[in-house]
Amino acid sequence: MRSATFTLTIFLALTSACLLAQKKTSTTSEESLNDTTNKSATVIGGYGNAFYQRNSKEQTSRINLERFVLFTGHKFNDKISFFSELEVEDAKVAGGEEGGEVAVEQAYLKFNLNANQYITAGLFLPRIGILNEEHLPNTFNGNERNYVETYILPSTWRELGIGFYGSMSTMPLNYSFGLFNGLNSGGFEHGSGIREGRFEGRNASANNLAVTAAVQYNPGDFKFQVSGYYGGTVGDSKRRADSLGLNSGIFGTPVAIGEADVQYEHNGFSVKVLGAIVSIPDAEAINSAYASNTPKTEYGAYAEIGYDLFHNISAPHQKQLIVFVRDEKFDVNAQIPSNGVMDGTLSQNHVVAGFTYLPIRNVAIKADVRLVHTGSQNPELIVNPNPVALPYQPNYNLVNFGIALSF
Amino acid sequence: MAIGAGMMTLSSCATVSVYKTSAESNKISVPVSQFAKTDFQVVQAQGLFYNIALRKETDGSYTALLLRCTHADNQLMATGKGFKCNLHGSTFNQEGKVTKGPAERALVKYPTEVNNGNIIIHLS
Repeated sequence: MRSATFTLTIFLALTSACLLAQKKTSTTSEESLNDTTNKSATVIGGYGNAFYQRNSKEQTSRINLERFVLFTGHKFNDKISFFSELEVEDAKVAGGEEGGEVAVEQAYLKFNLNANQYITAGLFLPRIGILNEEHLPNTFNGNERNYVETYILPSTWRELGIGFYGSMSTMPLNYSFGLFNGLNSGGFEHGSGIREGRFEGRNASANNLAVTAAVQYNPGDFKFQVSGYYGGTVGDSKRRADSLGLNSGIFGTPVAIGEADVQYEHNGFSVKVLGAIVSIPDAEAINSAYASNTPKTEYGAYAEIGYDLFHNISAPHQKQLIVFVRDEKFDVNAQIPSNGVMDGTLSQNHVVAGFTYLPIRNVAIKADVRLVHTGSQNPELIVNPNPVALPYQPNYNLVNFGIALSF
Repeated sequence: MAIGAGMMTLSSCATVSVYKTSAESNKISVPVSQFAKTDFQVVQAQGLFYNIALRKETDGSYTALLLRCTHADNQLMATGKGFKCNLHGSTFNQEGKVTKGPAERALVKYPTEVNNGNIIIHLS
């Protein structure tokens, strides 16, 4: 009996505690304020693009649903939200066949600290370059993403980590810091820089880490940004790393990236200029370990100018007809270590020109031509000489027509 | 009731006046005197996770816009010529209308009134 009474007392005490904890004791002004915006909500969105491409070098044409991405977000309250993007590339992934990809592009929680600062945690895109965050296909010119932010800055580049974002109240300046898992130097491939060293959220090594930082300044029609990345690329144990001749640890065998860009928009004109450099000081050790012909330095830059021909049409409308031209210069093989092989074809200059028609802001119809010029081929890298294979063509063009949307 | 006010004088389009306050009964009060030297204020209400842009119109009325992107609810930044979202790049003009996507809808606008020398922003 005494035991039952004790149990009942404990139960009642716990129940009372729970009820008291749940009871709203008072309504403060802050709470009433948040009631106006604090509604829980789930949002579904997405984006995608498809395009036709004619390759003058190969004398081939193809048409592809390059990306279809479903965005799902949920706001638990004004403090905590969840964001995700699930991506299918090339429309289909089939067992036993090459091509196609299904990937979680983003999945993170956002914790608002106040009106000017928030923290993110999970799989998300660090602020490096323009395209990594602003990658919706109806918001950039050209059917293809620019190559500088594809091969030098491997957009869309997401990793697991935490980020801190803030902005100044009194001036249009914001900043961000991130701490992520590092890259995998064992994945680096000749010709694609650090791109294949990304983990993108799948079983990333966490012995090695990376830090990022960015500052943006947005006065009026301008937007200036500088960003940086520094991270280790060896997630193996010290014993295994030592056997490969690589430095392990948090920032062992590092990759350093610096980037700066400027954007300007006024009276229908738009200008983008971006430059980025990647440094891999231990490239020689990486090549000794993996024979991947990893470069010591890569760089890239582009400049784009566009004009909206519909800008001066006075009637209210959302239509835009943007003519643009972009010059891209990049070298994935700019500086190689003593055990590397120079590949002149990786030094490229692309001129892209065309138009983007937006009947509404979220839908784009695009046409462009990409004129490609590359350096010459290194005879030491020729596996199948002419006439077994066609001679290398350093100049060719790609003609693209496509559609893009986001919602 | 204002709990503190921090203000920078508008010397160019790159600086913004900020008024810090709190809310009572879903209302925010801003003294009209805050607009003696400027026609634009960012209002920071304690406990609210988005700023409010308060602008004095040429007819003497006031427009209050919630600086929350209508695309993915991210906080917006006042640039001097409008508002920008740094998450996906949406921009809005000073009237709160979308000038660049992916946002599709205009910013939330709160009704305002002037009462006893104060601008009252009604949040509901």
